[in-house]
Amino acid sequence: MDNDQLLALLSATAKGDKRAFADLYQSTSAKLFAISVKMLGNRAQAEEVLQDAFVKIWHNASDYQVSKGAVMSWMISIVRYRCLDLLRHKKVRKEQSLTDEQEQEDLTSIQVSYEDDSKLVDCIEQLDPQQRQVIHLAYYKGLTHHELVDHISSPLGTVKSWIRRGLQQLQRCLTL
Amino acid sequence: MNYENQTLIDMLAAEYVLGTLRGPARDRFARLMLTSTRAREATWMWEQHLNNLASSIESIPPDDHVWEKIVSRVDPDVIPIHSKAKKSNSSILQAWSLIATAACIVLALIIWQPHESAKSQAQQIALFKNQEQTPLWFIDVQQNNLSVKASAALIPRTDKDYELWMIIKGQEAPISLGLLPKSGRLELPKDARFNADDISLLAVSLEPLGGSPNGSPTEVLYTTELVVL
Repeated sequence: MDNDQLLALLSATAKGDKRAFADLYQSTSAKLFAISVKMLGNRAQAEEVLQDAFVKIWHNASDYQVSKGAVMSWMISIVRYRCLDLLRHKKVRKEQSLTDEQEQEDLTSIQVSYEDDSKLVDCIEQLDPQQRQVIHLAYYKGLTHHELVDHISSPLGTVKSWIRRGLQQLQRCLTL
Repeated sequence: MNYENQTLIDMLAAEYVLGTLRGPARDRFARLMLTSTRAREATWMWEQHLNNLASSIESIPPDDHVWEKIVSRVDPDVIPIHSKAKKSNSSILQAWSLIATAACIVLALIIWQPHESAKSQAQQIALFKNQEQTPLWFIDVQQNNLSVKASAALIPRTDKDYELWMIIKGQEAPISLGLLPKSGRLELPKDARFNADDISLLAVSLEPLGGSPNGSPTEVLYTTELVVL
Protein backbone atom coordinates (compact mmCIF):
# COMPACT_ATOMS: atom_id res chain seq x y z
CA MET A 1 0.00 0.00 0.00
CA ASP A 2 1.47 3.36 -0.96
CA ASN A 3 1.78 6.43 1.21
CA ASP A 4 -1.26 8.19 -0.27
CA GLN A 5 -3.48 5.25 0.62
CA LEU A 6 -2.05 5.02 4.13
CA LEU A 7 -2.48 8.77 4.50
CA ALA A 8 -6.16 8.49 3.55
CA LEU A 9 -6.65 5.73 6.12
CA LEU A 10 -4.81 7.66 8.82
CA SER A 11 -6.82 10.84 8.14
CA ALA A 12 -10.05 8.88 8.38
CA THR A 13 -8.77 7.26 11.57
CA ALA A 14 -8.13 10.72 12.99
CA LYS A 15 -11.85 11.42 12.46
CA GLY A 16 -12.77 8.32 14.42
CA ASP A 17 -13.45 6.03 11.45
CA LYS A 18 -13.04 2.55 12.88
CA ARG A 19 -13.21 0.82 9.51
CA ALA A 20 -10.29 2.92 8.27
CA PHE A 21 -8.39 2.11 11.45
CA ALA A 22 -9.00 -1.60 10.86
CA ASP A 23 -7.77 -1.25 7.27
CA LEU A 24 -4.71 0.63 8.47
CA TYR A 25 -3.99 -2.21 10.90
CA GLN A 26 -4.55 -4.78 8.18
CA SER A 27 -2.09 -3.03 5.87
CA THR A 28 0.71 -2.35 8.32
CA SER A 29 0.55 -4.67 11.32
CA ALA A 30 2.56 -7.56 9.84
CA LYS A 31 5.52 -5.31 9.08
CA LEU A 32 5.30 -3.47 12.38
CA PHE A 33 4.97 -6.73 14.28
CA ALA A 34 8.05 -8.14 12.52
CA ILE A 35 10.05 -5.04 13.50
CA SER A 36 8.98 -5.49 17.09
CA VAL A 37 9.71 -9.25 17.14
CA LYS A 38 13.16 -8.69 15.67
CA MET A 39 13.98 -6.00 18.18
CA LEU A 40 12.63 -7.68 21.31
CA GLY A 41 13.18 -11.34 20.42
CA ASN A 42 10.01 -12.12 22.35
CA ARG A 43 6.73 -12.68 20.56
CA ALA A 44 4.43 -12.02 23.53
CA GLN A 45 6.09 -8.71 24.28
CA ALA A 46 6.16 -7.83 20.61
CA GLU A 47 2.38 -8.31 20.63
CA GLU A 48 2.08 -5.95 23.58
CA VAL A 49 4.16 -3.36 21.77
CA LEU A 50 1.95 -3.69 18.71
CA GLN A 51 -1.14 -3.18 20.87
CA ASP A 52 0.32 -0.14 22.61
CA ALA A 53 1.44 1.28 19.28
CA PHE A 54 -1.98 0.97 17.66
CA VAL A 55 -3.77 2.38 20.68
CA LYS A 56 -1.39 5.33 20.40
CA ILE A 57 -1.97 5.60 16.66
CA TRP A 58 -5.73 5.66 17.25
CA HIS A 59 -5.48 8.47 19.78
CA ASN A 60 -2.70 10.42 18.04
CA ALA A 61 -3.73 10.02 14.40
CA SER A 62 -4.68 13.70 14.29
CA ASP A 63 -1.16 14.69 15.43
CA TYR A 64 0.37 13.25 12.30
CA GLN A 65 1.48 15.83 9.75
CA VAL A 66 3.16 15.33 6.39
CA SER A 67 6.32 17.06 7.59
CA LYS A 68 6.84 14.14 9.98
CA GLY A 69 7.60 11.91 7.01
CA ALA A 70 5.78 9.04 5.35
CA VAL A 71 2.94 7.49 7.33
CA MET A 72 4.69 4.13 7.54
CA SER A 73 7.86 5.74 8.84
CA TRP A 74 5.85 7.60 11.50
CA MET A 75 4.23 4.33 12.57
CA ILE A 76 7.53 2.43 12.57
CA SER A 77 8.97 5.07 14.90
CA ILE A 78 6.07 4.65 17.33
CA VAL A 79 6.76 0.90 17.43
CA ARG A 80 10.53 1.20 17.71
CA TYR A 81 10.43 3.82 20.48
CA ARG A 82 8.05 1.63 22.46
CA CYS A 83 10.44 -1.31 22.00
CA LEU A 84 13.36 0.86 23.12
CA ASP A 85 11.39 1.86 26.24
CA LEU A 86 10.91 -1.80 27.12
CA LEU A 87 14.53 -2.69 26.43
CA ARG A 88 15.67 0.25 28.49
CA HIS A 89 13.74 -0.85 31.50
CA LYS A 90 14.96 -4.40 31.03
CA LYS A 91 11.45 -5.71 30.89
CA VAL A 92 12.23 -7.94 27.97
CA ARG A 93 13.24 -11.54 28.30
CA LYS A 94 14.50 -12.90 25.05
CA GLU A 95 12.98 -16.26 24.28
CA GLN A 96 15.38 -19.15 24.07
CA SER A 97 14.25 -20.15 20.59
CA LEU A 98 15.20 -16.76 19.30
CA THR A 99 18.52 -16.51 21.05
CA ASP A 100 20.14 -19.64 19.71
CA GLU A 101 22.13 -20.00 16.51
CA GLN A 102 20.01 -17.64 14.49
CA GLU A 103 20.67 -14.89 17.01
CA GLN A 104 24.38 -15.56 17.10
CA GLU A 105 24.61 -15.39 13.37
CA ASP A 106 22.52 -12.23 13.28
CA LEU A 107 24.61 -10.51 15.87
CA THR A 108 28.02 -11.23 14.46
CA SER A 109 27.37 -10.29 10.86
CA ILE A 110 23.82 -9.17 10.41
CA GLN A 111 22.54 -10.15 6.98
CA VAL A 112 20.34 -7.53 5.44
CA SER A 113 18.65 -7.54 2.07
CA TYR A 114 16.64 -4.42 1.43
CA GLU A 115 13.40 -4.41 -0.46
CA ASP A 116 13.47 -0.78 -1.38
CA ASP A 117 15.92 1.23 -3.43
CA SER A 118 15.90 4.39 -1.36
CA LYS A 119 18.92 6.61 -1.23
CA LEU A 120 19.52 5.46 2.34
CA VAL A 121 20.17 1.94 1.11
CA ASP A 122 22.73 3.24 -1.39
CA CYS A 123 24.37 5.30 1.30
CA ILE A 124 24.42 2.44 3.82
CA GLU A 125 26.16 0.26 1.26
CA GLN A 126 28.93 2.84 1.02
CA LEU A 127 29.78 2.71 4.74
CA ASP A 128 32.73 0.80 6.15
CA PRO A 129 31.63 -2.72 7.11
CA GLN A 130 32.11 -2.04 10.84
CA GLN A 131 30.11 1.17 10.69
CA ARG A 132 27.36 -0.58 8.80
CA GLN A 133 27.35 -3.48 11.25
CA VAL A 134 26.98 -1.37 14.39
CA ILE A 135 24.24 0.75 12.79
CA HIS A 136 22.39 -2.39 11.73
CA LEU A 137 22.68 -3.97 15.17
CA ALA A 138 21.50 -0.80 16.88
CA TYR A 139 18.61 -0.28 14.47
CA TYR A 140 17.30 -3.84 14.25
CA LYS A 141 18.17 -5.15 17.69
CA GLY A 142 18.06 -1.99 19.75
CA LEU A 143 21.53 -2.67 21.17
CA THR A 144 23.11 -0.03 23.38
CA HIS A 145 26.71 1.11 23.11
CA HIS A 146 27.68 -1.29 25.88
CA GLU A 147 25.82 -4.22 24.36
CA LEU A 148 27.57 -3.52 21.07
CA VAL A 149 30.90 -3.63 22.88
CA ASP A 150 30.06 -7.11 24.19
CA HIS A 151 28.71 -8.41 20.93
CA ILE A 152 31.47 -7.34 18.61
CA SER A 153 34.32 -7.38 21.14
CA SER A 154 35.56 -3.89 20.42
CA PRO A 155 36.28 -1.09 22.90
CA LEU A 156 33.55 1.41 23.78
CA GLY A 157 35.38 4.34 22.19
CA THR A 158 35.70 2.46 18.92
CA VAL A 159 32.03 1.46 18.88
CA LYS A 160 30.91 5.02 19.59
CA SER A 161 33.17 6.37 16.91
CA TRP A 162 31.94 3.84 14.31
CA ILE A 163 28.37 4.88 15.01
CA ARG A 164 29.07 8.60 15.00
CA ARG A 165 31.19 8.51 11.86
CA GLY A 166 28.81 6.15 10.14
CA LEU A 167 25.89 8.48 10.85
CA GLN A 168 27.87 11.54 9.75
CA GLN A 169 28.83 9.85 6.53
CA LEU A 170 25.23 8.80 5.99
CA GLN A 171 24.09 12.37 6.45
CA ARG A 172 26.65 13.67 3.95
CA CYS A 173 25.66 11.01 1.47
CA LEU A 174 21.93 11.64 1.96
CA THR A 175 22.16 15.40 1.47
CA LEU A 176 24.27 15.17 -1.70
CA MET B 1 25.48 20.89 26.22
CA ASN B 2 25.16 23.40 23.43
CA TYR B 3 21.84 22.67 21.77
CA GLU B 4 22.28 25.58 19.35
CA ASN B 5 24.84 23.58 17.42
CA GLN B 6 23.06 22.12 14.40
CA THR B 7 25.66 19.39 13.83
CA LEU B 8 25.28 18.29 17.41
CA ILE B 9 21.48 18.34 17.12
CA ASP B 10 21.69 16.26 13.94
CA MET B 11 23.86 13.63 15.63
CA LEU B 12 21.73 13.51 18.77
CA ALA B 13 18.64 13.15 16.60
CA ALA B 14 20.30 10.37 14.59
CA GLU B 15 21.27 8.44 17.72
CA TYR B 16 17.85 9.08 19.24
CA VAL B 17 16.20 7.48 16.22
CA LEU B 18 18.79 4.72 15.95
CA GLY B 19 18.27 3.98 19.63
CA THR B 20 21.83 4.32 20.88
CA LEU B 21 20.98 7.55 22.71
CA ARG B 22 19.88 6.12 26.05
CA GLY B 23 19.22 6.95 29.66
CA PRO B 24 19.12 10.57 30.84
CA ALA B 25 20.60 11.78 27.53
CA ARG B 26 17.62 10.31 25.69
CA ASP B 27 15.21 11.99 28.12
CA ARG B 28 17.01 15.32 27.71
CA PHE B 29 16.77 15.11 23.95
CA ALA B 30 13.08 14.14 24.14
CA ARG B 31 12.49 17.25 26.27
CA LEU B 32 14.45 19.38 23.80
CA MET B 33 12.16 18.18 21.02
CA LEU B 34 9.19 19.67 22.87
CA THR B 35 10.67 23.15 22.59
CA SER B 36 13.02 23.07 19.63
CA THR B 37 11.70 22.97 16.08
CA ARG B 38 15.22 22.21 14.85
CA ALA B 39 15.47 19.15 17.07
CA ARG B 40 12.03 17.94 16.00
CA GLU B 41 12.77 18.41 12.32
CA ALA B 42 16.16 16.72 12.59
CA THR B 43 14.47 13.77 14.31
CA TRP B 44 11.75 13.50 11.66
CA MET B 45 14.39 13.61 8.94
CA TRP B 46 16.35 10.76 10.53
CA GLU B 47 13.21 8.74 11.12
CA GLN B 48 12.33 9.15 7.46
CA HIS B 49 15.81 7.97 6.41
CA LEU B 50 16.61 5.24 8.91
CA ASN B 51 13.17 3.65 8.84
CA ASN B 52 13.93 2.60 5.27
CA LEU B 53 16.13 0.00 6.94
CA ALA B 54 12.95 -1.76 8.05
CA SER B 55 12.23 -2.67 4.44
CA SER B 56 14.60 -5.60 4.83
CA ILE B 57 12.51 -7.13 7.62
CA GLU B 58 10.15 -9.83 6.45
CA SER B 59 6.56 -9.30 7.60
CA ILE B 60 5.09 -11.53 10.32
CA PRO B 61 1.30 -11.42 10.60
CA PRO B 62 0.30 -11.08 14.26
CA ASP B 63 -2.35 -13.37 15.77
CA ASP B 64 -5.99 -12.23 15.59
CA HIS B 65 -6.25 -11.75 19.33
CA VAL B 66 -3.89 -8.75 19.10
CA TRP B 67 -6.42 -6.83 17.03
CA GLU B 68 -9.23 -7.85 19.37
CA LYS B 69 -7.30 -6.46 22.32
CA ILE B 70 -6.59 -3.22 20.46
CA VAL B 71 -10.28 -2.78 19.67
CA SER B 72 -11.23 -3.40 23.28
CA ARG B 73 -8.65 -0.85 24.43
CA VAL B 74 -9.39 1.98 22.01
CA ASP B 75 -13.11 2.08 22.53
CA PRO B 76 -14.58 -0.17 25.18
CA ASP B 77 -17.73 1.93 25.25
CA VAL B 78 -18.70 1.73 21.63
CA ILE B 79 -22.13 0.30 21.07
CA PRO B 80 -22.88 -0.05 17.35
CA ILE B 81 -25.87 2.10 16.56
CA HIS B 82 -27.85 -0.79 15.07
CA SER B 83 -27.21 -3.16 17.92
CA LYS B 84 -30.34 -2.11 19.73
CA ALA B 85 -32.43 -3.20 16.77
CA LYS B 86 -31.27 -6.78 17.16
CA LYS B 87 -32.96 -8.51 20.06
CA SER B 88 -30.49 -10.35 22.13
CA ASN B 89 -31.30 -13.72 23.62
CA SER B 90 -30.33 -12.70 27.09
CA SER B 91 -33.67 -11.18 27.98
CA ILE B 92 -33.00 -11.55 31.70
CA LEU B 93 -29.88 -9.44 31.36
CA GLN B 94 -31.85 -6.90 29.37
CA ALA B 95 -34.50 -6.78 32.03
CA TRP B 96 -31.88 -6.20 34.68
CA SER B 97 -30.31 -3.54 32.53
CA LEU B 98 -33.67 -1.74 32.20
CA ILE B 99 -34.21 -1.90 35.94
CA ALA B 100 -30.70 -0.55 36.49
CA THR B 101 -31.32 2.23 34.00
CA ALA B 102 -34.58 3.19 35.67
CA ALA B 103 -32.87 3.17 39.05
CA CYS B 104 -30.10 5.38 37.70
CA ILE B 105 -32.58 7.82 36.25
CA VAL B 106 -34.51 8.07 39.50
CA LEU B 107 -31.24 8.56 41.32
CA ALA B 108 -30.16 11.18 38.82
CA LEU B 109 -33.47 12.97 39.25
CA ILE B 110 -32.92 13.09 42.97
CA ILE B 111 -29.33 14.26 42.62
CA TRP B 112 -29.72 16.77 39.84
CA GLN B 113 -33.18 18.10 40.59
CA PRO B 114 -33.83 19.38 37.08
CA HIS B 115 -35.61 22.69 36.69
CA GLU B 116 -39.26 22.93 35.97
CA SER B 117 -39.84 19.31 36.76
CA ALA B 118 -43.05 20.17 38.52
CA LYS B 119 -44.41 22.12 35.60
CA SER B 120 -44.40 19.46 32.94
CA GLN B 121 -47.15 16.98 33.19
CA ALA B 122 -45.39 14.06 31.53
CA GLN B 123 -41.72 14.48 32.04
CA GLN B 124 -39.30 13.24 29.41
CA ILE B 125 -35.78 12.46 30.43
CA ALA B 126 -32.78 10.52 29.25
CA LEU B 127 -29.55 9.43 30.84
CA PHE B 128 -26.40 8.44 29.03
CA LYS B 129 -24.08 6.08 30.85
CA ASN B 130 -20.81 4.47 29.91
CA GLN B 131 -20.16 0.76 30.08
CA GLU B 132 -19.26 0.95 33.74
CA GLN B 133 -22.75 2.38 34.27
CA THR B 134 -21.34 5.77 35.26
CA PRO B 135 -23.83 8.51 34.33
CA LEU B 136 -22.31 10.96 31.80
CA TRP B 137 -25.13 13.25 30.63
CA PHE B 138 -28.59 13.81 31.96
CA ILE B 139 -31.17 15.27 29.59
CA ASP B 140 -34.40 16.88 30.71
CA VAL B 141 -36.77 17.67 27.86
CA GLN B 142 -38.56 20.97 28.33
CA GLN B 143 -41.13 22.95 26.39
CA ASN B 144 -38.75 24.59 23.96
CA ASN B 145 -35.38 23.14 24.71
CA LEU B 146 -33.39 20.24 26.03
CA SER B 147 -31.68 20.95 29.30
CA VAL B 148 -28.49 18.91 29.36
CA LYS B 149 -26.21 18.48 32.31
CA ALA B 150 -22.79 16.89 32.11
CA SER B 151 -21.90 14.69 35.03
CA ALA B 152 -18.81 15.48 37.08
CA ALA B 153 -17.73 11.93 36.26
CA LEU B 154 -17.37 12.83 32.58
CA ILE B 155 -13.74 13.10 31.53
CA PRO B 156 -14.11 14.84 28.20
CA ARG B 157 -11.57 14.78 25.37
CA THR B 158 -10.30 18.25 24.66
CA ASP B 159 -9.62 17.50 20.99
CA LYS B 160 -13.13 16.25 20.26
CA ASP B 161 -16.74 17.25 20.68
CA TYR B 162 -19.72 15.14 21.69
CA GLU B 163 -22.87 15.42 19.61
CA LEU B 164 -26.39 14.42 20.53
CA TRP B 165 -28.63 12.68 17.98
CA MET B 166 -32.15 11.33 17.83
CA ILE B 167 -33.22 8.39 15.74
CA ILE B 168 -36.82 8.61 14.60
CA LYS B 169 -38.75 5.38 14.24
CA GLY B 170 -38.72 4.09 10.69
CA GLN B 171 -36.12 6.62 9.66
CA GLU B 172 -32.52 5.62 8.91
CA ALA B 173 -30.68 8.92 9.27
CA PRO B 174 -30.11 10.25 12.79
CA ILE B 175 -30.97 13.89 13.36
CA SER B 176 -28.48 16.10 15.15
CA LEU B 177 -29.73 17.85 18.27
CA GLY B 178 -26.53 19.79 18.92
CA LEU B 179 -23.24 19.55 20.78
CA LEU B 180 -23.28 18.34 24.35
CA PRO B 181 -21.64 20.28 27.18
CA LYS B 182 -18.31 18.93 28.43
CA SER B 183 -19.13 20.28 31.87
CA GLY B 184 -22.00 22.03 33.55
CA ARG B 185 -25.43 22.63 32.09
CA LEU B 186 -26.45 23.66 28.57
CA GLU B 187 -29.81 24.39 26.96
CA LEU B 188 -30.09 22.96 23.46
CA PRO B 189 -32.89 24.20 21.20
CA LYS B 190 -35.56 21.56 20.75
CA ASP B 191 -35.79 20.30 17.19
CA ALA B 192 -39.27 20.71 15.70
CA ARG B 193 -39.33 16.98 14.96
CA PHE B 194 -38.59 16.08 18.56
CA ASN B 195 -41.56 14.02 19.70
CA ALA B 196 -41.31 11.34 22.36
CA ASP B 197 -43.66 9.03 20.50
CA ASP B 198 -41.51 9.06 17.38
CA ILE B 199 -38.08 8.73 18.93
CA SER B 200 -36.69 5.22 19.02
CA LEU B 201 -33.26 6.09 20.39
CA LEU B 202 -30.98 8.91 21.44
CA ALA B 203 -27.28 8.67 20.70
CA VAL B 204 -24.03 10.45 21.53
CA SER B 205 -21.26 10.53 18.97
CA LEU B 206 -17.61 11.51 19.11
CA GLU B 207 -16.90 14.24 16.58
CA PRO B 208 -14.12 16.56 15.48
CA LEU B 209 -14.30 19.94 17.24
CA GLY B 210 -17.31 21.82 15.94
CA GLY B 211 -19.40 18.73 15.34
CA SER B 212 -20.05 16.23 12.62
CA PRO B 213 -18.42 17.31 9.35
CA ASN B 214 -21.03 15.59 7.17
CA GLY B 215 -24.30 15.65 9.04
CA SER B 216 -24.04 12.05 10.20
CA PRO B 217 -22.57 10.72 13.42
CA THR B 218 -18.86 9.96 12.99
CA GLU B 219 -18.59 7.43 15.77
CA VAL B 220 -21.46 6.51 18.05
CA LEU B 221 -20.29 6.17 21.63
CA TYR B 222 -23.49 5.72 23.62
CA THR B 223 -27.16 5.19 23.04
CA THR B 224 -30.12 5.42 25.35
CA GLU B 225 -33.88 5.59 25.25
CA LEU B 226 -36.04 8.59 26.01
CA VAL B 227 -38.02 7.86 29.13
CA VAL B 228 -41.47 9.35 29.66
CA LEU B 229 -42.46 9.50 33.31
